[in-house]
Amino acid sequence: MSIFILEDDIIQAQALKRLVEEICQENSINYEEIHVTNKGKQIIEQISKSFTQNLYFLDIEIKKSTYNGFEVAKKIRTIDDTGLIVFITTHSEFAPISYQYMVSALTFIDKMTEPEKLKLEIEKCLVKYRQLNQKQEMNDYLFINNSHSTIKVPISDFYYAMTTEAHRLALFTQNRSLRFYGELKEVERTKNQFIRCHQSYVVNLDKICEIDHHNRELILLNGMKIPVSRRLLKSVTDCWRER
Amino acid sequence: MNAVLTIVTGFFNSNGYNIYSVVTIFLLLFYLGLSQKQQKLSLVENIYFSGLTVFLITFLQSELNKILNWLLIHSAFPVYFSTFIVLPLAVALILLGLLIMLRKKVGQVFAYLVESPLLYLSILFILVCNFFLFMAFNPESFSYQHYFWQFEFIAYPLLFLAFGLALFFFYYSFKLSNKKRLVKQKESEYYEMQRYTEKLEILHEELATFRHDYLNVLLSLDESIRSKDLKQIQQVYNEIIKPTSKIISNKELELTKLTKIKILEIKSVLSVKVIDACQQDLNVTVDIPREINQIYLDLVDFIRGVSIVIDNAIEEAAASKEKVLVIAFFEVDNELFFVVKNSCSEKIMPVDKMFQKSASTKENKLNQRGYGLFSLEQIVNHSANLMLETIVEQDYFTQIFKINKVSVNQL
Repeated sequence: MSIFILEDDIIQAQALKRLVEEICQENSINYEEIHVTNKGKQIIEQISKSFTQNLYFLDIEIKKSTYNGFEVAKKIRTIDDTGLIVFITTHSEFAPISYQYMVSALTFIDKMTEPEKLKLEIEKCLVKYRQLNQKQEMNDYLFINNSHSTIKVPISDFYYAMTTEAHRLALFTQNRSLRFYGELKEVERTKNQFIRCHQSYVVNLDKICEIDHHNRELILLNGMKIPVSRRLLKSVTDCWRER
Repeated sequence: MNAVLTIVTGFFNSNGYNIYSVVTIFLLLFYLGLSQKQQKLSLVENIYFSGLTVFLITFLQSELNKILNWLLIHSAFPVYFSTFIVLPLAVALILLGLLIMLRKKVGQVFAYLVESPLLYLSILFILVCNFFLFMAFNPESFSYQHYFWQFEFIAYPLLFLAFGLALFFFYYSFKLSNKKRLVKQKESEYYEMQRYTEKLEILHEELATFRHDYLNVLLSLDESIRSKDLKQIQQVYNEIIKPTSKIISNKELELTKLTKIKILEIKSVLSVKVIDACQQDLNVTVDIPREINQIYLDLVDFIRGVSIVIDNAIEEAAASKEKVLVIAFFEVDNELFFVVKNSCSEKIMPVDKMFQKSASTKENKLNQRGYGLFSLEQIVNHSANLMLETIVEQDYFTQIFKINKVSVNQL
């Protein structure tokens, strides 16, 4: 549970460290240590010693170094595939999406933003970091891996999935939709809180807010409505009550 | 919908020609209701569609019945009265089954049919055919029925001919519109490629002049610095160096990043979209870190899908406050990503409503809306290794195509 800062400008690095410490104190976030360095290599050596969730603030442009921030991030990912990576850069307008995907970075922070906003941004990252550490069930993912697609969605995000066509699924979270090749059965059997409520719908029981018996609809926490079949209405209601 | 109902049910209720057909037609209507909801067909299109299917199916059914009866009578099987009820039922059920199984295909063919140049002619033709079919099966509802019986020997061959023609229409308009689409696409690809090269040339010239001037600028600066002439330094900076920032921050330079795409057709289409977006004053970012040589997907499908997504994004971004459009194209491990991200206005609809056909944040302009996402969904649905992810965040909207490379190699 450590925080790493990669930054070649000593003044900026110290300022960032102070900021992180301040935010952690305000929000009572616990951490083991803050490592500040201007060498990517050092970070990579340090990681192997720690076991829990790490948070990395990486500057993309590092002078006089064999790796820039992006390459360090790639190296980090080979060792630690769950840590949070945050890029810090002077040109956030150029912050490329491809980087973000290649190393699953959390976000980009623009160095040039005003101090208050910068603090807010960093605070967001730290809060996320705390959330991750509190949630020990890190591998609680809905994971589907078939010959045509690989899906990984946090179970706490999953709302419902439906078939759109033979072998075709649409999966919904609060603000995402995924359309891919797959079978509803694959989703249904991943967790027992996922339950079939209709021939072509599987719903996350935790996300049901209300069952409308009259219209035979499930109303989910975010207002989404999905149908329940007559046949399954009773079993869905029972399972939902039990939870 | 009411008009469709009367036309379709009008056939059989008068003399009970075949109750099973009525059942078939009823279920067909059910399907029609679905298809209308999905594709947003206009009333005329819907009538045409139902007319065509009803004609084809009724005729096919009556002829199949005749053939089966004939075969049965001439076969060694014992014939009972009930067999003549069971047979039509079996035929009706088989046709119904086929129709349900192939409904998506029929829907697809029909999407082409509506675009075909023969649309109005075939509507007229189908109406006439249905009228004759009605006469043939319910002659007693007409006062001039004896005329019909008189010409029965011509009427049936004529109906046969009409059936053949209807099938031909179906097939031909499908072919024709498909061909037209391909030709159009080739043409636009060529045109887009030309525009792209022109733009590149202009950019190249600009860059060349800049490079040429740059050395001179350095020289003159060098000289003024040596002489410590602050005034001259200021002058050089204001007149020569400052304007160059315009060249450097030229949004259209994003276009040059497309050179990393080694597939000509994709490059040309994307270039047009990027130019278009620049002209609408969007802040365009193109992010293609490495060369793209292969897309592991049908090229036409890919281009169509990507075009739909980018067009939507440009339209949405242009109406938004921040006017941001980001296009990224890259590979991670065994997946190819194509990402389009755009800023959007506050009015965002929930993700699960977005793909429903009638859904659109804008007013419906003559049913034009909905076709884009309809085709997008079809493309996604028939490419097994393609995944589409849609993310709705505050002020930003992202569509991601993920193409699985591995599964293609396995095929």
